[in-house]
Amino acid sequence: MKRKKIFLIGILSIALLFSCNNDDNNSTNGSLTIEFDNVVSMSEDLTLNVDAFTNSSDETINISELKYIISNIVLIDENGGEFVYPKADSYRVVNELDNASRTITLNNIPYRNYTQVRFGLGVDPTQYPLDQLQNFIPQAEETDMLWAWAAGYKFIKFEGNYTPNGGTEAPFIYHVGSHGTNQDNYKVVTLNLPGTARVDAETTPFVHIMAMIPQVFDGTTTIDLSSADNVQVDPVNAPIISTNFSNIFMAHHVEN
Amino acid sequence: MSKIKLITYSLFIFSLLISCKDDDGDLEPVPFQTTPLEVTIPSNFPPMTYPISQNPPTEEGFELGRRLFYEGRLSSDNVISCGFCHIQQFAFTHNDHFVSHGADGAVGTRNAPPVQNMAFMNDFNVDGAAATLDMQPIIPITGSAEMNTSFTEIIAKLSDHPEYPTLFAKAFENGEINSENILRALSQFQVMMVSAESKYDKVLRGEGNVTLTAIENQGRDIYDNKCASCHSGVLLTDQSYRSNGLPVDPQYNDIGRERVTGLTSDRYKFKVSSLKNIEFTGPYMHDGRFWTLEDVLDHYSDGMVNEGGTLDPQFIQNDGSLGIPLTADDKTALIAFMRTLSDTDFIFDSRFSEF
Repeated sequence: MKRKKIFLIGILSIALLFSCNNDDNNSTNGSLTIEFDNVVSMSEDLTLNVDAFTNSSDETINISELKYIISNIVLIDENGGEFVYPKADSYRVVNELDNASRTITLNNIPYRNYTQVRFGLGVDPTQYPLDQLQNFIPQAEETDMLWAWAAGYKFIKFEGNYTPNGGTEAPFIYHVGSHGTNQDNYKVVTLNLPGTARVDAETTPFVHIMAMIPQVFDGTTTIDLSSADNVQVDPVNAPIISTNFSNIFMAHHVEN
Repeated sequence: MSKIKLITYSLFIFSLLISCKDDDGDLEPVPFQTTPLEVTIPSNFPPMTYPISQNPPTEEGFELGRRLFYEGRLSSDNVISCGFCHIQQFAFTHNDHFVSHGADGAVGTRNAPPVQNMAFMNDFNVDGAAATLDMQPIIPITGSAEMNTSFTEIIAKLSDHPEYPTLFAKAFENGEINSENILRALSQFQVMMVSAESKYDKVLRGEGNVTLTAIENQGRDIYDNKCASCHSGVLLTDQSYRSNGLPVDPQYNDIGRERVTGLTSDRYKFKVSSLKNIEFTGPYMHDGRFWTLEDVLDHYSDGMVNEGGTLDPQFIQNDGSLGIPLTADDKTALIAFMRTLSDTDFIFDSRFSEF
């Protein structure tokens, strides 16, 4: 009897000793990497400061700057279960000029097989007063994605020059964000993955997303630069551009 | 097993349990605790628009917000605080300045609006450029003609300050000096800035036999008939954007609400200002062009133009004339009434003052 009790207490003590371990290491969580690859076509990467492509309005486009805000990242598994990445950490500026910014590594992802990814383009108006998003302000400041005259973000900053067929080169500026409480240009993008992204102890899947930049002009609505080359708080063209932009993304492949 | 042995084992197990604590410091960690501030909505006020449950004011957060409001380090030259242009005795406006001054002597294009009853507003600034109170400070902090700095810079300055790390640690559980906590603290301070103790407020609440004088009542009738369709309700504004027929000042050519919405139909429209504490908030209009309430009423009766064709239809009379017909007596009575909108309790409330 005595021995049994001592034995039990001993086991209990050992169990307690082990329970002191930090829980971070024995997790069932892994990582996943998403690359945003801005391209001219399926076979051609986007190059800045050269004549990159010609749109359907016969305008040759030379892009000097391309940035956009990705937010509210959600991974959807094969059973439809959603893993919402912590909001405070999900706001990123993808900057074509900064290679590191185009690869987003998501950590602490539950081991599952993911088949879809969803993200926001811009900043969700229902979220941005609070909920830790304000820590995104310094990043937005450094990348010039914050409007100084208004308390809001530029969701898309897209600039360069264009040359109409037979015409002369002229600059274009697209700064698209929401217009106060008047116009919400935040978009949600959901992409089916062409293969399963398997997050487990051995695998950090890599999801390659292509952003087909010519579709910004030739998307849901065709927009020609000659009639709209300066879009900043433009009630007609800003919603067109944000809609077109939200449709340029496709998940090209997954590497496990 | 004897009782003593049992106790010994229990103590041993207990010590194991306790040993699971983090060993970061030698001192026992003091549990984080703040003192909630009671927020009372005056009985004659509408519901708050501010999502207060997401940022409930505490004594510590309010005190940090007050310090930040009067902190010159929130500007590039360490001089221009929020309180520099929003002076309490003028209902937090910049008296004696048409338009406000910023860091390094920069001059803005607009007159600083009052900071009062912010928790009840739908959006902010004279053109609605800020959709929420939490985001509003971004405009003055980063504006080149205002505080001309960045959050990265002010976070660095506050982190190097001898007192702010402690103040942030007291106010917020994570204790971080970051943009979220800066804006939360500023909002907690501003949410408490409720002005509801004017004579007119007391009359509306039927408090303590407070009544208006004959001339004040005469002014109230004129206000009810000729002003209250826009300067409506207990907040004395319907918070809409309208053109009140100001000739455009070519020095600024301020297009007003159009800058936010991009709509030409919003050209020269500005938010209907609250008449609360109007006696103290001169100079008047978005660019501070009128020094006195008499000047303002003269504009309403005789000064309007319809540039851009966006003049509010209420100002266009049947005979095509513009403005609101007002006699000299009407104006005197109206100004007497407007003085009943002054809340000296608010102007002198030591909770909101710098020292």
